Amino acid sequence: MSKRFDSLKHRLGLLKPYYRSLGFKLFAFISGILILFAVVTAYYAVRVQEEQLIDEVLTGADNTAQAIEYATRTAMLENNRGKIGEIIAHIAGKTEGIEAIRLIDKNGIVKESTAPGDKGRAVPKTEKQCALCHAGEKPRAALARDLRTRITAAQDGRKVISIAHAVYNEEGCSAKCHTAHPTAQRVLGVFDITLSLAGVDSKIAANRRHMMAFYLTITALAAVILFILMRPINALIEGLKAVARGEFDTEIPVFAGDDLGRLSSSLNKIIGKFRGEIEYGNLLMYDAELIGREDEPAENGGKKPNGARRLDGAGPSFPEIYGRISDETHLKIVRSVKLASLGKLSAGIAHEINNPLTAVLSYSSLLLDRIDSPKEKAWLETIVEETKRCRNIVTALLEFSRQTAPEKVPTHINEVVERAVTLLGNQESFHNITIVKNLNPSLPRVKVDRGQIYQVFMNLMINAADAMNNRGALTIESRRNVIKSAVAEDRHFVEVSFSDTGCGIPQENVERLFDPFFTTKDASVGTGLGLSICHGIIKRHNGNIKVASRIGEGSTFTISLPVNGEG
Amino acid sequence: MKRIKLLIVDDEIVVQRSCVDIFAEKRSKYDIKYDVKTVSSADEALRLLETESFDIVLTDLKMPGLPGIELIVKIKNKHPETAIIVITGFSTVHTAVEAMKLGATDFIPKPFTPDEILSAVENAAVKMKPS
Repeated sequence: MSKRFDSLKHRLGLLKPYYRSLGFKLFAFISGILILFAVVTAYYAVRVQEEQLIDEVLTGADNTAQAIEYATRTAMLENNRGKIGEIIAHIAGKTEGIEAIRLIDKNGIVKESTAPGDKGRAVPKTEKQCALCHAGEKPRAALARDLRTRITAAQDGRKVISIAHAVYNEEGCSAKCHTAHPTAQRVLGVFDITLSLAGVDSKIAANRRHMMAFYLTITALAAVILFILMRPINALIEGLKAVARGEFDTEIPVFAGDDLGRLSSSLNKIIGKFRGEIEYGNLLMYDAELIGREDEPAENGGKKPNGARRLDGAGPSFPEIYGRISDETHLKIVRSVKLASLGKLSAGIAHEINNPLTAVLSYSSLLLDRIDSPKEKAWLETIVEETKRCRNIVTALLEFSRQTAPEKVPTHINEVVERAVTLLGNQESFHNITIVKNLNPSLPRVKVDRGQIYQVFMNLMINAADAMNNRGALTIESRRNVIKSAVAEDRHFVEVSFSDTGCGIPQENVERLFDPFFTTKDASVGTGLGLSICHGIIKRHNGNIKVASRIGEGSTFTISLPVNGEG
Repeated sequence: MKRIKLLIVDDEIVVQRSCVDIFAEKRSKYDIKYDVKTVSSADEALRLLETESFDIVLTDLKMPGLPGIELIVKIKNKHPETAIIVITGFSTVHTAVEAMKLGATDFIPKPFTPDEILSAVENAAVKMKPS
């Protein structure tokens, strides 16, 4: 028993989300009210109609009884039984709905009847139709019509109504009658007319059916209207539920420009903003190394902040992460804004500077051809060389400011690494550098602009060679990585890291590393734009670039690119 | 001696003067004499080309009025034998490829050295029949 109860409880529990929904409650409430209203009004309407119909039948019956009385008056005075029987039978046969007419005398004997075998029967005073008047010691002479009627079931189950119509002792009766009824006797006998209620019943049943159909239609209509009204509300609820599950790409459908429509569009905007925040937060989670690596056990994460990593799936909550990384977020936003405005400015300046530089380069070069004095020649050579350096800076600036969208194609990232290694490995600056490749062969393809990523890898390799003074080991590693999050979908990345055994970067420089024109190289070697350009390229791939460095031990630059190349 | 007529189209007077002086100063490896004329816009260039023919047109891309890219198309339509060399301060691979596709024979980013521009012009000039 308790098992069955438990099972029922369990089933009800499963239904909980449905019967607790606003839609269901509204539907239940409105249909409940409608049904209650329908039942009450139908009950009263049917009852009133039934009473009216029965009243009509009774009026008809009473009139018929009166007509019979008049029709049989002469025959009664003559005591012509045969004629009385004939008239009764004729009326019963001609009038629709009459089941039986019988004439009962004051002694309760059925004198005439259209029902076979009824004639001559003595009706006891206790019988229903007699008891109405004969219940007391002295019989009642007159009775209201309603009290003279009774509804009974006929033998075949049909409902019938009977009405008793008294035959009163009138003036003529006591004088003219064959038996000369005593004047004190008021009632001489009773016409008992039985009528079928089949017509009334069928009318009521039809009426009930009509009402039922009407109310069912109204309820169905209410359900449809409710469904139409509830659709945007349900969409809102479902959309917000999806957002609660972490599906931030949810778009709540807007059905109309009404209040709910405006609410939905506003919520869509909020979700959009939140999505941006979450994506940015995920990226920062990655930066903050709050992540687990698929192919590296957690114990090896020596560099990770204390307790920040949770690999059990129950990652840190969003506010928790946000709190921890807010400083870094601020820095990153400042950096992004700075780079974007610098990019626009650089493009304008670069173009304007090229024209005067053309004149400087042209005339200094022409003069160099004419001058023979070694001292002046050296000066002019400096002008030409420095102008060329300006040209390089401007070219790099233009490159940096170029906001060309990457043309992404699915790419095996290891192939791009191999290409860069092949090209640079033959360069003189790499002759004394051991390149160690630790590439994961089973990496998924990433959607990238091969040329741009190639440029990034080359830049990082050249920087590594410079940091090692062209002597040491460069380890290039590729691997998979995943950002696990309790508040959003896991994000999969492919990572490529370049680790050198160079001088390392002081902490104060790490923060400025991606700033344009920041360089620690000799002015004639670097423009300070290489890493800014790399940063821009990687950001346009929705990826990330980060650096870890120890003075005297070396630096590691890590590029991460999203596997599905979304955005 | 071969004579080649050059037209420099650049809104920057300093660039026009530099070009004129480079061709006056530098000696041609192929014994070519260069006659240089300059204009400040693509519209001026087109007007001049109505009355005078040039072997090589050196044009900037970003100028007030008609842009250099359209000048390339118009010259190529009316004077297909004229060689066009693009000189621009806003050089990207994309613009270079586009200019070459439209019929430019060479592309020199600004700032250029006298040797660079001479070399580009001579490359175009040696392929030409004497006018």
